[in-house]
Amino acid sequence: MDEIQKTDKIEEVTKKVNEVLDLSKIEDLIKKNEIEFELDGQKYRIKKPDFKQKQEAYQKRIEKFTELLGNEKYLLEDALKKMYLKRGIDIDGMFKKTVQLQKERDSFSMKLGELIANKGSESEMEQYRLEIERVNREIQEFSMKRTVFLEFSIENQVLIYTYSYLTSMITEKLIKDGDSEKWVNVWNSLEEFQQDKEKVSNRISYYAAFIIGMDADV
Amino acid sequence: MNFDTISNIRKLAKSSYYQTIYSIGKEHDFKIFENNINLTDLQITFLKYLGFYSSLLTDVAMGDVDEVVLKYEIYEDAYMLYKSKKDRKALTNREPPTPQKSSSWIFKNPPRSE
Repeated sequence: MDEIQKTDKIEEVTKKVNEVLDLSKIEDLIKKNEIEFELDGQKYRIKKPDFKQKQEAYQKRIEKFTELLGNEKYLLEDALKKMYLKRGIDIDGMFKKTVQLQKERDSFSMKLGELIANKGSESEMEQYRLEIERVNREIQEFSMKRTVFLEFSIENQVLIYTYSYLTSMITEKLIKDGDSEKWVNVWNSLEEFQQDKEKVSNRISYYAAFIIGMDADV
Repeated sequence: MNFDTISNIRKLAKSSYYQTIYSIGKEHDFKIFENNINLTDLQITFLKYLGFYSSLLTDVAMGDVDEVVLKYEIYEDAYMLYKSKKDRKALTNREPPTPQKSSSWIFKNPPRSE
């Protein structure tokens, strides 16, 4: 898969996430730190990891990082960047360009803000808005490219692993227990989660990513 | 979190329903979320925007800024950025308060009566 195809893939996934996360779903996600939903007639629940689960994930993260570091097939972000540079792709340069664009956006925003505060002309406001939108698109593009290029770095692989581990820990399903019902873990291990039907785990991953958030970066 | 998700969070935070809950909550310890602790990133972002819109809508209501600011999120961000930088600048440029003459005489021992 080349870079353009990868960027298209990211955009496709982002679109899918947006379809899943409409306004009402976002409202559900905001009300509490868990979400319930139905998939193929089965009720699922994803709860934000507690302190103990986060600690377990942290231990797993260390183990995974050490394991990948000991395997010469995998490269750290810095080493990967050096390899890209030899092929003419400057990832740090992209980052610097992003910072520069953010400064440009802030400068436009300040001018626009001043115009709004002083009841300036609406056509001038519109021009600044379009400029800011253009800069935002460029920033997003650089950010997507950077994500694609560094996808296989050890740091990114460890982050994906931690997300998957936490997702497999915090996802429950509602089952019948005699006359009543109870919530049980969907998977007993990460391996079980990874081998599950793609459709089920993909939809769950969308929601889990929002519930887990920065907790994967423990 | 992508732009669309943040935009949806902003729509909710800007709504009169959540703004009312937010203002009541500040005065009467009213709960916005079902959980008090272990907030998700989404909830924290939502709280941040509740405060953002509370301040912005107050400015609109007070006539400090024209309603045009609510036309686009980019306008809202730009105005709030300008306002915060202007406020910060005003705060930094403010002269330090001159120390008032202390009325030290009140701490002195009263004159001894002969």
